Amino acid sequence: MDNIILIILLTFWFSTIPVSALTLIRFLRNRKVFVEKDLKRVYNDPKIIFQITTRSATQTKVVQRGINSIKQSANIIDFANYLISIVTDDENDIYTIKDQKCEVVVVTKDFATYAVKKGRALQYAVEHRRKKNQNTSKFWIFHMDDESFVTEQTILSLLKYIRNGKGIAAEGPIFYPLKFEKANPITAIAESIRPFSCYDCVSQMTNPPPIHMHGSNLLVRSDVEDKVEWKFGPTLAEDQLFGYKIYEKYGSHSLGWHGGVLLEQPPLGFKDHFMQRRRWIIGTLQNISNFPFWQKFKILFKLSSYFMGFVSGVFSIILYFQSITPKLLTIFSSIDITHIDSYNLLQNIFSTILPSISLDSISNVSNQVVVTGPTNLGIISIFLIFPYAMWIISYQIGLFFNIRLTT
Amino acid sequence: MKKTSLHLQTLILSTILGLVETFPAFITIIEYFIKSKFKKFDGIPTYDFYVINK
Repeated sequence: MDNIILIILLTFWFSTIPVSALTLIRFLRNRKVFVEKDLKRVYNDPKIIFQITTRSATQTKVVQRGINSIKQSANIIDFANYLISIVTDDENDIYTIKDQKCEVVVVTKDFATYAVKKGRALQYAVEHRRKKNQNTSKFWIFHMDDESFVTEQTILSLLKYIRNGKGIAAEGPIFYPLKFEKANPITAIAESIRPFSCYDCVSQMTNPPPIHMHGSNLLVRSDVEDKVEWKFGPTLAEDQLFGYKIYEKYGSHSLGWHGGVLLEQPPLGFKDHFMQRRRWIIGTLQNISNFPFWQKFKILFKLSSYFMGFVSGVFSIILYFQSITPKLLTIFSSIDITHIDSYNLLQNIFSTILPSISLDSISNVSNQVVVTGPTNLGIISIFLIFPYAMWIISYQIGLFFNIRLTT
Repeated sequence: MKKTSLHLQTLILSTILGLVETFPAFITIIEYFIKSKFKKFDGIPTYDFYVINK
């Protein structure tokens, strides 16, 4: 039992070293293209359809904020060749946003296709545009979530990407400054990991096939979306499959990175945070059978890192507290308690909380890995500092992006 | 000052944030495989894109 725990923990701990190294490499390599900066207004405007897919703009007030952001930003840079399309399940939205000069596409209740939830709405929008002859190479679709917020930089980046003609679908980074103050403080700062993980998105998009792709801040040529469609069956991560299908159909040069920043908001509470992550995981698991072996391997590795991250995190905390408890007791007590057998104290705690895991096994692991300290672990301990430092740095950089635009 | 404070909070809470981030994956993967095994996946509430409170 001791050895099994030790092997599992060590395997995970040391597997984070190459992952962290890769993260660092991607951060350094992609930092110059991550946010597009070299922007100027060139008047050769293609038609962009800003598509906001929502269940209900009537119930989700932030949709109107997104609409206004498009209009204001487009107005500032003198861009007029666009259309705002609200794809919604709620027919009341026709009246709610009638003054906004937007196209409201209501997904009819009887619409049946080989897609569910958001995928179904997206497919409806494709078929709607097909009827209007908008699924041609002259139209570009910019996908947004209902809380997405567009800036001038976003639109200029989209125009530059289209102008350069280097791809038919592209993504950009998403930052989360909106409602930052209103969100739960923990879930707000927990969202810091996401802007940083977008450095990986750059590599995913420029070295396809991508193992993940977000469905908002996605620019895709209309005829390409028409060909690929969203009929992926019962999946909650339709965007992941969409990215892969574009690669499969159009090759490795079809995808790219436009570098336009889209602003969004963090989950407002723990439940939303949990449910959002849960949806990603379920969606990925639903998709897994659709990928070839190597893609499947990469996705499963990522999922197992996610899964083992929690397991090893819990065990690491237990080991840490076990190693420092005697010292803490000494520091915080005026009585000399060094003679107290902390082992028995912890034994009682563990037998209550984790009856299936004996303290002996954890203690042995602890003795082998932590308590013996750097003398025995030697250079290995130093290597483990690297992934932890990367973890901390990733949150700090992500937070920097998220709060840069907050007031 | 406020931004510095947020950076400090993030630094101090980095371990907790790791658990908060990975806990949904841990639970969901277990739930998915248990329910798939017993073919009860249809019973999992899926919470699609519009459930998140905005």
